[in-house]
Amino acid sequence: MVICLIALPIFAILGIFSLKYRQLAWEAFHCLFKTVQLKPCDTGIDQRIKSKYTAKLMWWPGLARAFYKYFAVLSWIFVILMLVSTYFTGVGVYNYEKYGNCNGPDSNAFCIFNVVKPNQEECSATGVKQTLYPDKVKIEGYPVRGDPNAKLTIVEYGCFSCPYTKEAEPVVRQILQDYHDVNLVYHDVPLSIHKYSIEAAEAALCAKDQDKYWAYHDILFDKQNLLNDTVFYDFAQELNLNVTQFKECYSTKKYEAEINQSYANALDVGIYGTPTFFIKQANLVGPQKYKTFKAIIEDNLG
Amino acid sequence: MNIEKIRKDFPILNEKKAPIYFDNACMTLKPVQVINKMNEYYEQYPACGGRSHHRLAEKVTEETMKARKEIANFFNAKNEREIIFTRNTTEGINLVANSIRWNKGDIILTSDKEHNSNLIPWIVAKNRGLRHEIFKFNDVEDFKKKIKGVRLVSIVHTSNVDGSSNNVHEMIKIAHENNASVLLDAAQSAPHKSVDVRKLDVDFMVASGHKMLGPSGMGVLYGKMHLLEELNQFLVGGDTVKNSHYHTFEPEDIPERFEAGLQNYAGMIGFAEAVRYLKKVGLKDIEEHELKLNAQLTDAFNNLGITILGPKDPKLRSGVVGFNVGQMNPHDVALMLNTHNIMIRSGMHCVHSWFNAHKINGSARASFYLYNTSEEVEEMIKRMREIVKLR
Repeated sequence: MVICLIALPIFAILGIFSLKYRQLAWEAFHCLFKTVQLKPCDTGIDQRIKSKYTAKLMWWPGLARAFYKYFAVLSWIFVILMLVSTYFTGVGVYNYEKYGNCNGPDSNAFCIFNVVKPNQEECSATGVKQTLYPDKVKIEGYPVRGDPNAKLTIVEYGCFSCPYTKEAEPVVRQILQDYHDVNLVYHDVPLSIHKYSIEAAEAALCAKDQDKYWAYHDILFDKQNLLNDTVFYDFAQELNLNVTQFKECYSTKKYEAEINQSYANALDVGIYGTPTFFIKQANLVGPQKYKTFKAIIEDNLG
Repeated sequence: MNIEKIRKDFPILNEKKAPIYFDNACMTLKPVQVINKMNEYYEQYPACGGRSHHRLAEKVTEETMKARKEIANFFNAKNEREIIFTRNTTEGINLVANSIRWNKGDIILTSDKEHNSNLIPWIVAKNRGLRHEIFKFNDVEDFKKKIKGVRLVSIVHTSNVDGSSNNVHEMIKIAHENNASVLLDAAQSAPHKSVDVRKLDVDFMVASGHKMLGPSGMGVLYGKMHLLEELNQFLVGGDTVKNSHYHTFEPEDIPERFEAGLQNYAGMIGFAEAVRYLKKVGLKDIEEHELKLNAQLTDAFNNLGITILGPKDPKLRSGVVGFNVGQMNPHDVALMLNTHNIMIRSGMHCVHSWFNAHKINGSARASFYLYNTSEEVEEMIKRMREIVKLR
């Protein structure tokens, strides 16, 4: 009886923990083996399943009768449903492992594997997950790390005060180190929920005036827990910047308009949390594994 | 017979969700008296019997002797030494089959509705040059035709398939007139009605303790003393000999010579306690009670169009109702009842040969005992009404 095809994996998993289910798994396997040989199942496990559920349906005699009479047909339906769902689950797992989203690289639709993690995976920008528009991503005028003429660009929408953006940093740096054909464009999305996010963005852009943007970028993430009103000058000093020039830039909010522009672009693109990455049409929200980036990059580099 | 009082003696029947237990032809429940008696052995004198000479061993010997005496009285044996403890009915039959000093060509006669325990030993015996003949169950005329030249008649008293009985009084008489010995399988009769071995004049009788409130792994073989004396030893070894040398041995007395190895003392003592309990309640009352329940279920089944195996009259079917619901698989019926806490047996009940010969794919079976109630039967009828609708 084909119902054993469903019973086997269920009992096999339960059998890891219980001897009783191990026996049932063996019976289901034996039954399935017989079914494949077009012989009747002689362990009686199919019969037990059928009778048990028929008895439970006795409150509704018509339903019980139909279940009892058409059990073989129902078994086939359940098996087909199981095979179909197994196929889609397999595809989902593959996509999740490869692209970090079970719906594939070009989708940001709901993925159950993402929500099983206990904590939020990104710093919320809008509070509502929404559709992303990779075509609206802007690159020109934003800081670039790596070869400006690289074949592939990762665009990151991040916030210097966001712990998840910080969490993503080591992987991003490793990727840039390993793939010389890839560069990074960084967009500031200073989130108001985080203290010093705007100030940090401002400070980083002021460092850009002295060609130290990426060094300052790195120190902001490396010492994220130290952010306060005065630390930005300390960082400037640490990086041997002209502190007077830096102070002038920082105190006059020289880059306020650029930061607002970057934020506006983030909203246009549909960014709902940081970090969000775009690699051509593929998008990744939240910190990702190295292999997830690798898979998308290698797909695109060919 | 006070059923409510009896039920209080059975721990499992006093649980919150007590089972409706109708599988008594397979195994009966155990009263607290039997459990306590067995615990008494394990707690107070858990030693060897018949060997050592310390206080505990002497207590075991005394208790097992009392147990043998109790069981001998229950079956009205002339002498308690005619009672041999076995593991079960199957072992008792095998003991006889392997111990009689057979001559090549000896004939064994059985009915066509025997449990595998009383069939397979005789099929195997053909390898030793013995012949196995079969007569129609409870057909005295057929029995008369087949009895000529038979050495041993080995018959079931009450069938576990449908509860019907062989006319053993008549058959034993005929067998003896024809110089044949009779081995009676009383596994399904001894728990429910009086089996008086002397009144029946039966030569050998076997029964199981677990079908009569006793512990599992305990059975009994009765044999007339002069016949037991003629038997070879089957299982031999520890405690079956008085003395031994490197190439010879001197057999122990009867019955110990047939009880090889260290015995199930707790089982013996528990079995005797079960027999005591049955005697106290009264086998006649038990039989009447079961027949009443059988009649109740039979009436309902007749109204529901359920096929009952065996005689139509419930009085001829002891406490057993073997049945089929149309073409429905009997296992389905049993499994569905089990969901409602009603426990019956399904299948061929180890009587495959009869089912195969009659081309019946098994049956469901409800079998009653002293603790079952009319309300429980009513609950089964209610559930069967639902099951019948699935046809």
